Amino acid sequence: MGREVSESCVESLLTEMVSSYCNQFYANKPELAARRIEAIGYDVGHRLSERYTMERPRFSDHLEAIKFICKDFWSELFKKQIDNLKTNHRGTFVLQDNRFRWLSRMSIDPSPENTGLSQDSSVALAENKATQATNMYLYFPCGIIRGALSNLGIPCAVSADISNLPACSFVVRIKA
Amino acid sequence: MGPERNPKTTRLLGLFWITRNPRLLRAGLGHNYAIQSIEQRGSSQIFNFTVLSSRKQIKGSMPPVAPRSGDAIFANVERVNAELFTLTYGAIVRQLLTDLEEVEEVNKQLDQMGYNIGIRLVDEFLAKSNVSRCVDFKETADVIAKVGFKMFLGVTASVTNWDADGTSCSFVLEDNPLVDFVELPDTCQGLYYCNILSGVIRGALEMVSMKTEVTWVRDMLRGDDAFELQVKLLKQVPEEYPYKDDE
Repeated sequence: MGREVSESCVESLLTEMVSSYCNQFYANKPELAARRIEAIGYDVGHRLSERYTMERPRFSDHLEAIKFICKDFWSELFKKQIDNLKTNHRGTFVLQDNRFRWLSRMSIDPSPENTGLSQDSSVALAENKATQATNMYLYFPCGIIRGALSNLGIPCAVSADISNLPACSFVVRIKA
Repeated sequence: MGPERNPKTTRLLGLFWITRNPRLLRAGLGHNYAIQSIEQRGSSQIFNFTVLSSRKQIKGSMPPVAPRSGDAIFANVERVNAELFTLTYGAIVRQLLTDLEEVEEVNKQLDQMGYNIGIRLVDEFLAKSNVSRCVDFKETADVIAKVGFKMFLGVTASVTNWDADGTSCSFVLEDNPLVDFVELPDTCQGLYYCNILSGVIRGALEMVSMKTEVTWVRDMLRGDDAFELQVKLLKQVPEEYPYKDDE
């Protein structure tokens, strides 16, 4: 077992990083904040996958690399594997974690019909803000996956889908 | 002043430590009380309260909880791979260097982020460690070094270099997970890479009424043989009772 720190350290750091970029540096430019957060994730993913693949042979195809992300890589980060992997066999993969750790302590209202219909506009605004904060937060793991795959020679785009909370799906689209 | 009037939910830690900090209420351990009345007797105040909820059996009026060691707490908290933490911190520092350009601005930002973390982490620290009120700054420093560092980072610090009146000391870290695999390029002269730590300590102590100034004395990334953080107690703000009952 390698060195460990308390989970609160990582959680506090991520919360503070997201809040610095979203509320302080780019308060009115969420797309720029998102890009920075994704870039930080990319850097982390790139370095981690370099470390975890040092003693492995090269992956023979995309599926092998994706399986490595789902199993070994995810286990190092979250002590569990991705629960479900789907693909259309044309370069799109959906990696589903049934209980994504980094969302488990966030309060998110999963019912989409609430948005915009709420009588109290301040409540709607607050909910909207919470959803936005969660989306910002998710740029980080998306960046990690993109960085890890790019280090394995697979350029791709990664997005997250949280319509089935507490499950979280990461959609990987490999660039041809 | 009847018992029904204006009951306030609050929480006691030890006999004296009272707070209405909403985060503490959510912190999990401990007990919720409703204050029913406060009587003034001479110079002391007598609280009458009822227990609203409790996870543990209470005997008498005070929860019999013993302080826990840093090792015991660290063994029980959720832990994660330190590489993830170290590399994430490194990536944040790198991105800040790109975005803020000035090293001095990055130092400030890291300290601010640490401060924000510290004011939140202190709740988790108090809830999990069961430490009772520290009698003086010396005891506070020891608790931070032995329990605080250990329960979050998994390492302990030593406390040295006390000044004569016991208001300034140093935390020395020989092992620091923040800097595993870190080497600073020459362009980062003046960067206090671990500045987030000084912010965390300052923020956490401010939440327990101690205004401090925290500065780096030694830094291994600058060629020193250890990390040394000097903590100077500037002011101890007397705790205020968090309610006005005679409104």
